[in-house]
Amino acid sequence: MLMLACLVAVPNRPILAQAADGDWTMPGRDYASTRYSRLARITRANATRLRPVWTFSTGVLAGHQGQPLVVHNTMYVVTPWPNVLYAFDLTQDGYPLKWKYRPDVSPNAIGESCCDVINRGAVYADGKIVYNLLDGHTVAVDAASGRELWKTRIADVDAGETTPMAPMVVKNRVIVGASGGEFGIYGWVKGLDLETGTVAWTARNIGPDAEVLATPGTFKPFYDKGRELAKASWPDTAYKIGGGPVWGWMSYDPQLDLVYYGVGNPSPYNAEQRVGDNKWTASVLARRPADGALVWAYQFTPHDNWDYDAVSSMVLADVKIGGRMRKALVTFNKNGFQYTLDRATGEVLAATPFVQVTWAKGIDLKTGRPILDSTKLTGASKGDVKDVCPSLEGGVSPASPPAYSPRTGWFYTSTNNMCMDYAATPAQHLRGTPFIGAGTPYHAGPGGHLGSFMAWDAASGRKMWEDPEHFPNWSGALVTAGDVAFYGTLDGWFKAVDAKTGKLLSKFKVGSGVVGNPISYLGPDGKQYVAVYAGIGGDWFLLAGDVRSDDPADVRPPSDPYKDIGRHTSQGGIVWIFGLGE
Amino acid sequence: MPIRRAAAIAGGTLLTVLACKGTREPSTHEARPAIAAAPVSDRINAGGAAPAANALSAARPGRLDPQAGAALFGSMNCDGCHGGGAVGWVGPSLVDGRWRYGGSDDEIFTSIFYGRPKGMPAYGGVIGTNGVWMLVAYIKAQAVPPVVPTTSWLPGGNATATPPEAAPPGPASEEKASPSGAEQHKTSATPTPQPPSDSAAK
Repeated sequence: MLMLACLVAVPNRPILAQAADGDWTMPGRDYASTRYSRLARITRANATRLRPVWTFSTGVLAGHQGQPLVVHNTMYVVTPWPNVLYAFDLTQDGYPLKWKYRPDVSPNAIGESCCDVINRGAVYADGKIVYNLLDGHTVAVDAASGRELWKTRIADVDAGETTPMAPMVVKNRVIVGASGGEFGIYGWVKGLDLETGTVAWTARNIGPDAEVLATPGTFKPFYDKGRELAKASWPDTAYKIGGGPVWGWMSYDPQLDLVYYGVGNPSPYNAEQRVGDNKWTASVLARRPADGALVWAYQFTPHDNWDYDAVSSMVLADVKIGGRMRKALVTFNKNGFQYTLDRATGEVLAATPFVQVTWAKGIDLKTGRPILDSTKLTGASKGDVKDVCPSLEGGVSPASPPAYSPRTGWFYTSTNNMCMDYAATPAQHLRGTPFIGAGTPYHAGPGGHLGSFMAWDAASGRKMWEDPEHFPNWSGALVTAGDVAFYGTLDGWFKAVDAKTGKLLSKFKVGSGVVGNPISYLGPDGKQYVAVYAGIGGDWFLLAGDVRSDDPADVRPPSDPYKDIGRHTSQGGIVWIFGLGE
Repeated sequence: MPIRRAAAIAGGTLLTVLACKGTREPSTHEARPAIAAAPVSDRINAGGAAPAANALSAARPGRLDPQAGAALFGSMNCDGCHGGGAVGWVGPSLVDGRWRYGGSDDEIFTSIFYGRPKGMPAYGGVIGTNGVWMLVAYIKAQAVPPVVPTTSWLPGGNATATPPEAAPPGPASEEKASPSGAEQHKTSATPTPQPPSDSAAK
């Protein structure tokens, strides 16, 4: 018989705004999504001694995005589909499993996922591990025993909705959204009850005010006036297949009681099928977690012509703009601009290109709107539009969230240095099939290197240092109080660099390309560790040519402009832990 | 299975017959047994339309122009999952001469008409038998590159950054501006057949 040492379930246990310094309980480490660790035992001086201390094969071959959690001396890992949840005992040599949870999850979700069968992580709250299965369900698992507590259907795979994003938990609300901007979904977010999993509210990102939960008096967009903004900016009922997915990250300001999240692209990619601004696609939305009410919204890319999803992490930080400190929201948008917004109102305080940008000449701060280069507009009647920068992978992928150090005041992010040609064609919406309408080959941006990892000062809109990489850089970032930053490369290197200078301190080849996000935590032995997944995928499962080995019926040629990725990595699935080995 | 029995089998010699579904040669005109034609319930139905039963029993069209199938490959959003030119994207490559579910005409027909596991939608309900046979003709007309098993990064190999050799023109190659996959990229590497420069608009 199994003896379970259960934690007594305490209803309404307070949800901490952030974990103890040595833990990592939510994807961005804290509600501000800083991905900053206060641990300082690993330093710029000793990081050269970092070495692997443990590995574990997840058993799954697919893009390992997301990040582990560590709480109560237990590490929690969610795999890509089929979304196994592992709980490792960090108090025992070799970190054996306490349990593993193998959910019943539909394989149909595989074919309805645009961009590999990734999962972007779980969240710990009130003794539960909460995460999304790819097939449109949110689950809560008891963190001590591994027992499934509830499982709620939130999305419809048959309609092209899948659910890889990591939930956010605020008080007793679990907030979740769906992917499907390539399948013509009618995008939404939902608020579930943490205790029971029942859906408390549903808010569309596009469509009528009643569905978007935009009420006059409560909803105050900074730049826009009037009602039915998210319906009137679409022709007829195009919003019902208009996309607006939610596949990125969420942040929360407890003082303002606002959850911030980005909305992805409008459907289809052929913009001529959806005249109008297409609000609120390619936007950031601020909602009240209890009831989902929309408080403000800002659209980064009106009438998106280029698949510039706006689901990148929204980092909440104080930034000095115009001589005074502002309570800001900082984001590195796919469209190549780094935005600093007032997070109380949605006003754009600054917007600066952080990579090569050709689709717009700047952002007009009076109107919040981009100043377009009309030669880069796309659509079926415009044929092949050349040299649009950045490519639709983004100046940085939203799957690669940045980190922020309050010590340096800088933001740390991967980048892609790629441009694209964009040829749109008419697309037909057929439920359950892709709704796209474009061919968009990529090529390298200026300099020839395809990516980098950099430090950026939002106050001045300047790059402070940059480590170029041969391939696009796709990992998330971590930065610590020891002034060490961590990232991984697409060809499988995990690197520690000096957060002040970018100088390489340590690197290790981790067996497969890194598309996940490193974390740092304190082990039961009081030592600082860094953990990261290896396992190339996400968009790179589609793009990298032949990184697959497990299916003899799927052989692909190498792909321009990165024909040699497959030389350095194949698919994998490994959890790595690094330490100083003292 | 009782533990006792499992231990006995584990201790002995295991004779296992593996049915390798994905590695048949593409068929020519051999008669093959008809694949089970009943629609399977747990498939995605394209357009929400369930495919009719016994589709393989219906009379099949005569010679089909692969160009018509090429147009359907775009308008039915096949390229959205299989990539422009069907080189592989979210879904597997259809031009590598390898087949997960068999490469006979009937097997490819069944894959498209009735769908397959892991999210290949059933298209029979929206385009019927004629439409699916057009797609089969298009897919079977795609040239299989000569060096599929080996990818080489040695000098002169097919994965180097040197300009690719011109591939032989295919009979019904994908037109350049056709829709391709999600999070977009249309591959243009050897040895995918390149469209002739005067290919007709879709």
